Parts: sequence; C-alpha cells; structure tokens
Amino acid sequence: MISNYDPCHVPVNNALNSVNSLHSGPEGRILKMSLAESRKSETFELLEDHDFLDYLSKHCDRLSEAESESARLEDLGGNINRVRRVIYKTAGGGEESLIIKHVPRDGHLARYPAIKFCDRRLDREHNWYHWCHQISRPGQNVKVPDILHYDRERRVMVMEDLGRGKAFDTLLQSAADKKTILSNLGSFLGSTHRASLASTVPLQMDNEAARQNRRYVFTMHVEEPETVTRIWQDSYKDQDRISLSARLSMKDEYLDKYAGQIRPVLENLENSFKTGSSGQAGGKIVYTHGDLHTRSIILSQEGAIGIIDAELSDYGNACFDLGIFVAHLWAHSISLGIPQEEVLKDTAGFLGQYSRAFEPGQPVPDSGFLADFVQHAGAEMLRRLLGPAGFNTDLSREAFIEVLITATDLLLDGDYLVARLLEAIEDL
Amino acid sequence: MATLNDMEPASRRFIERYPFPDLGKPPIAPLKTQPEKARVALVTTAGLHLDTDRPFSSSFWLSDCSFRVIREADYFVDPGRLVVSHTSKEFDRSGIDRDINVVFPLPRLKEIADAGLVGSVAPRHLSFMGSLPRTGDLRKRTAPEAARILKDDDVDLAILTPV
Repeated sequence: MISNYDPCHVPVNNALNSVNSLHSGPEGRILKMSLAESRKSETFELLEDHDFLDYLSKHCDRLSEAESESARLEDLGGNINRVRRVIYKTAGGGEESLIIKHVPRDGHLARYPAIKFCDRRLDREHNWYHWCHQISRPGQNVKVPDILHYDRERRVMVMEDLGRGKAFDTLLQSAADKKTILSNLGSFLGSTHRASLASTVPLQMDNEAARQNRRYVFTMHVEEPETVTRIWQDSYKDQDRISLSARLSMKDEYLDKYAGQIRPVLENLENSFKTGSSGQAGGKIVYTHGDLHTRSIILSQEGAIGIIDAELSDYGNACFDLGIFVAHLWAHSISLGIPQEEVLKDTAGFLGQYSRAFEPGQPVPDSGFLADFVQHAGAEMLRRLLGPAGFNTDLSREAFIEVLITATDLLLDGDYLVARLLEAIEDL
Repeated sequence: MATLNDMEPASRRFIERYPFPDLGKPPIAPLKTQPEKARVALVTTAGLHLDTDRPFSSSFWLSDCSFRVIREADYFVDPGRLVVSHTSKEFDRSGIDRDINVVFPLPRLKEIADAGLVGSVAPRHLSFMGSLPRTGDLRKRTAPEAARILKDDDVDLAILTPV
C-alpha cells in the first residue's frame, strides 16, 4: 500500500469545484499541475503497459526509475476504462502497489467505437472519494481508496490499491462473514447518504456519465437499439451456464409478454431518479455511489470492505444504490443455491442497518421506501438479465429463470415482498 | 399424489427455494341457495382448452396467468376438441387420456344435474394453467375477470379441480 502523499493542501470544496489539471491526495490535498504539460491532453491516451509506467514516472512522480524498472502490471480494465495495477519493489526491498486508471478520450468502448460515453466520469469518481474521506468516521469498517494523483486534463487517476480482495461468492458461503459485511455495508451507505442530506459541500447536481448510464439501467433493454445488441457476449463462461443464444431467445419471449407491463414502471424509476419516488414516501435524494455492484466492492481477507469505481456517483434516489447492491446479492445467492427465504433475511439485515444509520431512531424503514427499493432491485436484476452487462457470477439456465421471475415479481408484484421484508427487519 | 422427491431436480429446486407469496385464507362465500337449485361451473387448472383456442405458453417461467372459456355446448358437440397444454413436466397426463372427468368432470356434472342433485350446469367453464411461478397477474387481473364471467352467468357454485 502507498502512504506517501503529495504535500500541498487546499480545501475540499475547491477540489469538488476543481478546474483544469489537478493532482490531489486524500482529505483535500491537491497539487496544481503545470498547464504546459496539458497541451496535448485532447489527444492524450494511455494504451500499453509502458505508457502507464512512462506516465507514472514523468507526470506523477510516484515511481523512481529503479521502482519503475522492477514494476509488473496487471490489466484490470473494463469495457470503458483502462486500468492497471502496478506492483513494484521499493528501495527497502518490500513490495507495494498502486492503481492507475485512465478514461479513453470520448469514453469510447475499445471494441465498439460506435458507442461513446462521457469521458468526464473520472471527475465524479474523484469527487466521491473526496466526499467519503471528508465524512469518514474513526473506526469505520468501510473505506474508499486514497487518491494519490489526479490529472483531470489527461483523465488519469492514481489511487491506493485496496488489494485483490476475495470473491463475493466466498463471502456468501460463510454466515458470520456475510452478516458482518452486510451490516457494515448497510451502515456505511446509511451514514454516507445521511451525511449528504445535511451537506454544505456543493454536490454537483448532474453527472452526464451517470445520466447516460441510467438509460442502460432502466429502459434500454426494453427497446434495445442494434448498436447495443451487438455488444452482447457470452458473459457466463462455464459450459453448464446459460448460453448467449438461450438468453437472447428468452429475452424476446419475455418482452413479448411483459414489455407493456414493465415499461411504465421502469420509465417511472428512470424519470424519478432526481426527484425520488413519485409515490408515497419513497427514497430521498442523496449523494449516490451510482454503480454499487459486487465488483465495486472489495472484501479483504481481514474482513475490511473497500468501495471503488464511483464514476457514476450522482445526486439521486437513495434506493438506487440499495437496489443495485441487493439485485447482485440476490443473483449471487441464487447462483449459489441459497434459498430465497435466507436471502430475504440477509436483505433485511442490510436494510435494517442502513435504516438505523440513515435515520437514527427509525430502525425500520417505512413501506413506501421499501416499495421503491424493491422496484429498483428488480430493475437492476432485469437489466443484467436482458441487457449486455450480465451479472458478476455465472448463472445456470435454472438460476437465470429464477432471477428473472424474481425480478418480475419485484417490479410488478413487490407488495408481498415488502410485507415480508418489514416483518424480517422488525424481527432483527 | 406426487411429492417433491418425484419432481425433476430443476423444478424441485425452484419449488423448495422460491419465496411464494402467502395469500392467506381464501374468501370462501357461503352457498346462498340449496344445492339442488344451484347453477354449477367448473374451474380447472389443468391447462385445457379447445383445439381452436390459443394454447397456454409453453414457457413455465413466463407465468401464463390467462384462462380459456370452455362452453358446455362446444364440449358436448365434440369432446375430442379438448386439448391439454399444461407445461409442468411433473403432470402425468395418462389419467386424462383415459377419462377427462379426473380434471374436468363436465360429463359427471351433467349427469348429477340431470338427476336433480344440482340445479343446472353453467353455460361457460374456465380453464387456467396450473403451473405458475408468478401469480401477481392472476390475483390482480385474470382471476377477477374469471369471477366476473361466473357472476354474469349467475353461477352459485364453482367446483375447482387443481392440477
């Protein structure tokens, strides 16, 4: 782990309103970069391993020449971002690592240049980490990476490496670990969301990258354009798992029957992101992480939780974060064969902690909030089944069907699940 | 009757693991007339329909909550027109093949009506798909529609044949 930060300090509010070319450290430490170095930023791209190492030594000053020579890189990149873990030997003979993340110009998908995403997404990840550092409490069991360097112009961020972590599936197979992790995560989200209600920090009201992404979360898969259909791939590698052709065929059959019923529900969720639920006492507007699936959560061997990849952080409905996380929790659990009654109890444990942290004195969320939550969970499940993204766990055909039936219930008939969740939270 | 152990693994796993809604006690209404004056209809979940009707969905996971109307007159003109499109792999159809009365006792009902044990046979009878993982659409839309049909036909008593 890296603990050697840039020395200059400016207030965090300035960081959130930052303009061109800033290098920053944790807790608001920011170092201004030479503007002369940014001239070629419009065409700047980090493509190969040596580009990343070259950048680290020339622009970031993180690695000495000797450290750079000893470094080995791991490619952690996804569809959009180019990410490397850089592992190097220190002068003292130890081994340390850091993460360097670069957003391609125009945010285009490497394999599918016709699809482009907002390339300012790294600003939001930077802001969310700063925000979390600012409101962190002593003894908090969840952390976000320290930012070691931020180059807004070139769309590069260098961060603390929170480690490889263990697989989410492993966690779910240990009842004690699961309870602790879900409780800590619920508590963290509740306190983070709560803090944003009272924040005087000028939280920015719109994240273009998140706005683009919300269409994919909520409605894109109902009438998917050809440009998106082309990026479907066999996301479940195991031969026993559902095939791509089976998924596509089931998608068509499903939409023939359900598109008319689910579309208005999904459109309502998408449209109400900035205003909260349109009905009853739904989710309040808070500063959301925006993409809290299981690959955004790093579970250390020691039981600590790290949260990363906050590029889609935005000000919106609290149920968005909760729904996304629980959708993945259910999918992993179903894939592992955990009975759904147990998953309901796990969900209740998570939501109970969230509620206690979000609204101390109100340990049980109201039914309007839960109704909003279950629909968000259903929407995330559905898009992972019917859209190109897939889940972070393998699904057999039977598990796929079980998640699909669950998603439809959550979206259209969540009332009985709300009643069960209320009961389970009260029994905690 | 089949038990969970008789089911094929995927179906059994689903039945054992899925948190089906607790629907509470059914709101059974007392019979308001004497049986010998009552008009009687059949409601089956055997997935029956006439050969000219749209079959039920063959995909269990889609939860086809629709129903088909089987007119008494159509059945007695040609009983052979009644077909089964129930999706459950656990549904043993051999009994139906031998005698339709095991799931749709319309001939027996007509016999007891003719004998004066019940008042009359309703003109329309209803058939649902009995293999439904999701019942929301049934509870909210199609079951009330079915109830309206029975009410329009002045039905006093419905005999349910669950499959």
